[in-house]
Order: sequence, then structure tokens, then C-alpha cells
Amino acid sequence: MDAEEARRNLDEARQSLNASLHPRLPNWAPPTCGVLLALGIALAGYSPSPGWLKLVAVAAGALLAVTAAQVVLRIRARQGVTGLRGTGRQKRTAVIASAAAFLVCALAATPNTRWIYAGLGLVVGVYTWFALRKQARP
Amino acid sequence: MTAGLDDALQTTNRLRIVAFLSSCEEAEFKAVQEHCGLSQSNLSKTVSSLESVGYVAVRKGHVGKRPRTWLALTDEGRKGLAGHLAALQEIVDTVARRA
Repeated sequence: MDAEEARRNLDEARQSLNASLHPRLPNWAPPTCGVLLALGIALAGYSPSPGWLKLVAVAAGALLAVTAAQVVLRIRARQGVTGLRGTGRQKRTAVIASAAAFLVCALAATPNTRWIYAGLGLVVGVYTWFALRKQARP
Repeated sequence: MTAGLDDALQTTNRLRIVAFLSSCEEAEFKAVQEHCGLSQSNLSKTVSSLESVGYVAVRKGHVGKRPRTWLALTDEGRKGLAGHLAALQEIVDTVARRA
């Protein structure tokens, strides 16, 4: 086998792996996931008082983020592909670890820092929207 | 054959199927068929050959009243794919080093 054929085969394998990992999305999914994530981050860092309301806000923010992830996973499952293995599972672990760290930070948020979380939510939401748009059906 | 390459993954269709299955627990026959662009009979034959070398596990069942077939990559298949991709990368790297 020559190098050109080997490169073509590697590309085929990468494309197949990506096709399994990233489902084709309906057009409504990217904005929905972007908005859910943006709201989730903004809500988690809103830091209302009293303390129990702050906990509720962080939990609700986490729930919105989980819902965004579930939207993509459910669409993938409806297309007949279930579960994550290999690189997909590694990515999921990284995302869960980042989300856990973010939630700890959100618990320490104050009313003065809520605008930072709102801005962060906006950036992450827009990024998610555009990133998922590549997977949307033309 | 080049050393390190897996005989069972030498054709593009087999490589596609195994790579597609490598990042999921299970995939429906139809999902794999759509991705590979193969006819039902062609995919069946290819999957049978991969099953015979122990790379793919086939599970049959029903969703409601409709029969469905699910495909999954076995641990053996996962090792085979990893070795095959490493060998392909080695070929590409060797030529790049020489150039």
C-alpha cells in the first residue's frame, strides 16, 4: 500500500468515526441547544438570594445544560446510533469534568459577577449554535 | 500486504463500517447502510465476513412489531481497528520523513 492510499484510508476512517459521533441535526437543533446552554450558564451564575434560591438557580442551570446535551443524543439515537465509545467517551468525560468545575465556580458567584456569567453564557451559546450548525441538514 | 495492516480491514467498506461502529455502543443496520451507501445485501455480506472474524457482533430484535438488526464492534474489532489505523499512519509518516 502506498502513502496516498494509506492517507485516503485514514481520511475514510476519520469521516466514518465523525459521522457516527456527530449526527445530522434538524435545523431547529443548533439554535435550541445554543439558547439552552446560554440560559443555563447565565442562570447558574445569577446568584439570587437567599442561599436556597441560589442552589435552585445552579441546579436549574445544570438541568438546562443537560437538556441541551440530551437533545443531540436523542436525535442521534433516533437515527439508530446509541452510546459513546472511544474518542466520544473521552470527550464526554472532559465535558462532564469541565461542567462540574463550572458548577463549583457558579456556587461561589455573587450578584456582582452575574454579568460575567451572562456574558460567558452568550459566548458559549453563540459558539454552540455555530458549531452545531455545521451538522445541520442543508 | 504491508506489515501491521489488518487483512480483515483492507477494503474501504469494511474500514468504514468498523470505524463507524467504533465511536458508538451500537448502531442500527439501516444507519450503517445509510452512512456507507451500500445495498442491504452488500452490507449483509460485508457484516457477515466481519462477524466471522469476530470484529462485529450482530443482535436481532424488534421495535414494536418491526424487526431490527443492531451492529456493534467487539473488543477484538476495536483492537484490530486501532492496529490497522496505526499501521496506516506509520506508512504516511514514513513517506513524510523520507520526503
